[in-house]
This record gives sequence, structure tokens and C-alpha cells, in this order.
Amino acid sequence: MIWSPTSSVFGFSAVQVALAINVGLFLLSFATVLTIAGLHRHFQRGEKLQATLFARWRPLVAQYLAGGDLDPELKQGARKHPESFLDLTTKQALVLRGPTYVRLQTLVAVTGLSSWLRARLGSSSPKNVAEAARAMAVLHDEDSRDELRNLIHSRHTAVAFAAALALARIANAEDLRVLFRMLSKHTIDHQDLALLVLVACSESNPEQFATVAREQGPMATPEFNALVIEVIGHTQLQGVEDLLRQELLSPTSDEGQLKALRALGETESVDSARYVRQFLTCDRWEARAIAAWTVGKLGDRRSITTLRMLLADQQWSVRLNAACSLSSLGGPGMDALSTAARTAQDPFARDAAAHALGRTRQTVPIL
Amino acid sequence: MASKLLSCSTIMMFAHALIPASDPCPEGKRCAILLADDDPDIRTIVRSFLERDGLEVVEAADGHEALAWLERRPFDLLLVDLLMPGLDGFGVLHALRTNEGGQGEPQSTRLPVVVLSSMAQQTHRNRVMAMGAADFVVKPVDPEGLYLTVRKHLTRHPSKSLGN
Repeated sequence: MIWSPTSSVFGFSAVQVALAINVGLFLLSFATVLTIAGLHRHFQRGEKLQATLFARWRPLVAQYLAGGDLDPELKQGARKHPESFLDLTTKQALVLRGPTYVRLQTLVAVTGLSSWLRARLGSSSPKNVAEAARAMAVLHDEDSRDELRNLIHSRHTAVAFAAALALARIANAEDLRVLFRMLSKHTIDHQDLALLVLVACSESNPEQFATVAREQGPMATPEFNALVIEVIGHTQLQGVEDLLRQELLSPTSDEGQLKALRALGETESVDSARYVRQFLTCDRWEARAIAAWTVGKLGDRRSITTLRMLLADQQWSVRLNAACSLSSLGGPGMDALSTAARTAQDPFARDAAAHALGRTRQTVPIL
Repeated sequence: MASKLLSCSTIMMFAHALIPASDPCPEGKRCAILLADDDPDIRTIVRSFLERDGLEVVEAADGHEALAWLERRPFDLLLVDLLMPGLDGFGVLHALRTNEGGQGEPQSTRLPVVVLSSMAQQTHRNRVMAMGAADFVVKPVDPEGLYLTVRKHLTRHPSKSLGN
């Protein structure tokens, strides 16, 4: 059929149909514009309301934190707009510490929002649950422990890790075990998040962290064990030398061994130096470099002769770490360094020694 | 946990008692603190703690506003955040100590400055101390401890803002 202005469809001419389509499209566009404008106004109103509430609540919260009474307006407002109130208090919790921080937690509890948050953890929306868990991570709500333990197994990564972080902040030994098992499964895909949770675990319960790490180590993946060793090194956890030595001598992975070698440098355990010394002559240059740094941190003067030899190593990071360690070992180390700077046959050794003589002790190994 | 918190509060109460009873500001006058921080939460909370103990607090949301206040009237101490939009804490310290930008107040080079910062590295601390800061307080902040720091420096540098 050929269309023409005189053709008809269901009794309407083609011109009438075209006109109807155009009007329909115009109305649709108009409705879309109105909807977008309405949504925009709605969000603006929401932001404006939030800003107004924040401006009104800030002085009342501050007054409470400074030892004043809880203003009834604040209590009512918090119950009426719990999300805004938690937004404000969660932000404030991030910039506070000490007794004032604890008082802020009390404020959330006395306004009845802890129970509101706990109820929100059971919401069907993963977004709401993740937000509630994030607030819990800041507010350290011990009563939500059981719920958080369940949530760390959520299939939604955001929920699982927000809950894991919240649980890490209040973790007892049993929670640590549960968290270690959960994180061990996720280390490969979410290494950064796992690291964040592990650091929170080590800070909230340093006494149990090492115990649980020892216990769970044999069952965990090599990647996870390497991460635990890294956390120990970064947080300078003490009393974990045995764990580090075990990783050093019977490594679960090459990476774990290097991290243990480095972490030992933070332990101030002079006894560990004898385990580290053997790595000064290791085939792997990364191990030689870190060992050279670690013996310096441990103040091991028995390594001076080897360190002196390492000034001529083929890897510059080994030479530099050896030189810096010699300079940090005081008298005999400095003597060895000065001699090398003047008389060493190898130009690399002379340069490394001269460089180290002109700088202070390194706080991190050069790699 | 409870005993740990109790001991914290006890220490703070004890620390309060260690502050000399003599007020750094003469009777009937209030020491004036200029608080420059872009975070309204910090400003409101710190202000409430300082005002609770009788200090006068003026707020500035950035470095430029802080310098404008310092030109307008004298203060006994400046509390300044390092990271702020516009002119940051380093800029404020530099301007104060070199009297740049027309800050010709004779007190500006001697005004005790306590720096607040979330940048806890020793290098930043060394840098601001070398620039003439009196103290360095790391965020997250303990307002009770901050109050004690402020009082310490007010006692060391008795009021200059009064009588102007």
C-alpha cells in the first residue's frame, strides 16, 4: 500500500495520524521535562532540608558533647529524620576521638537510633543495609554483633565488607576467627577491602589478632597470610616475632616471606637478627635488599661485614639499603662506610657509601 | 572497655586540675580565639568546648577569612586547620609570620598559632613548627585535650587582645 495524504488508517487520514503522533511525542517530552524538573526540585528540597537540619542540630549536638543536657528538639528531630541525624553524627564521629567520641556514641543510643540502625540492618534493600553497616562501623554498636556476623556472608560485596568493617571495630576473638575465614576467601578479588578490614581488626583487638593469625594461618590462603603479615608490619604489632619467623623460615608464599622479612624490622626483636642474616646472601635480590634494611633496623652489628660486601651488590636498592643500615649502626658501621667511600675498588660501593653518609637513616626499605 | 573509658575521663579531669588556676585573661575580660577550619562540625564542636570555659571564639571558614579577621581585631590565639580551600593553614602561617598582605598588626608575628590537621606525618609537623606554630594537634581531635592545649598557650602568652 502506498501512503498518501488521502490514505486512511482505521478511518483516520494519514495527516490526522501524523498529527496525533506529533502531539503525543510533544506531550511525552513535556511530561519528561516536568518529571525531571520535579525530581530536581525534590532533591534540592531534600538537600535544603538536610542543610537546615544540620545547621539547627550542630549547636545542639555540640552543646551535648560539651557536657550539656540533651535538647528535646534534638531528640525529636533525630527520631523524625533519622537518616539526616545519622549522616551528621557519622560525619562528626570521623573527626572526634576520646571521651567526646564516646559521648557522641551515647547520643546516638539515647536518641533511640542504635535500635533504628539495627532494624535497618534487616532491610531488604542492600543499599540501606550497607549504609547502616557503615554507620555501625563508625559508631561501634556492640549489640549488632550477631546481625553483622550474618551479613559478612552477604552476596553483595558492599554489604559484606561494610558489615565486616563494622564487626572488625568491635571484634572479639571469635569474631576475628569468623572474619579471617571470610577474608581469606575474598583476598584475591578484593585485596584492598580485605586490607582495610584487617587493619581495623589489628587496631581494635591487637592482643587477639596475633593469636587468631597463628591459629588460622595454616587454613588460610597464601595471599591472605601475606596480607596478615603486611598488616603486622604496617601496624607495628608487637609480640608476633614467632609468627613472622615461621613465615620467614617456612613461607606460605614468596610474597609472604618478603613481607615477614620487612615486618621483623619493626619488631625491635634483636633475637630475630640471626634469622634475617641468612637472607643477606640470598639469591633473590628483593630479599637481600629488605634483609639489608631489616638488620639495620634491628641494630645487628654482626651483619656489618656482610653489609660492607653488599655495598658492591649488582642491585642499587641492595647497595643503598646496606649503606643506610651501616650508617644507622653507629661507630663500626660508620667506620666501614667511611672506609668504603674512600677506598672501595668498586665504584658502585663508593657511590652508595658516599650517598648514605650524606643522608639520615631510612624509615622504609628501598626497593 | 568501661574501665578504659573511665580512666580516660579521670585523666582528663586530672589534667584540668593541673591547669594553673590563674586566668590568662584579666578579670571581666575574655580571651579571644580565632578558629579557622572549613569543617563546620569541627568549628561548632570546638567552639562549644572553648566557650563553655569562658573563652570568646570567632569562626573563619578559610584562610582568607582568618586573615581578614586578624586585620580587623586582635586575638590571643589562632587555631588553624592545615587543609582548607583557598588559602590553607601553611599560607596563613606564612602570611602571619612574614606580615605579608598588609597584616601589619604588631602582634601577628607573635600570635600563638595551634595547627589542627589530619596530616599526622612528622614532616608536616616539622614544617609547621619550623614556620612558627606553637603546637600541632592531630585530627581526629579530642576537644577536651584541645582545650587544655589552648589554655597552655594562653598561659604562656598572656593576653594581648585586651585593651584594644
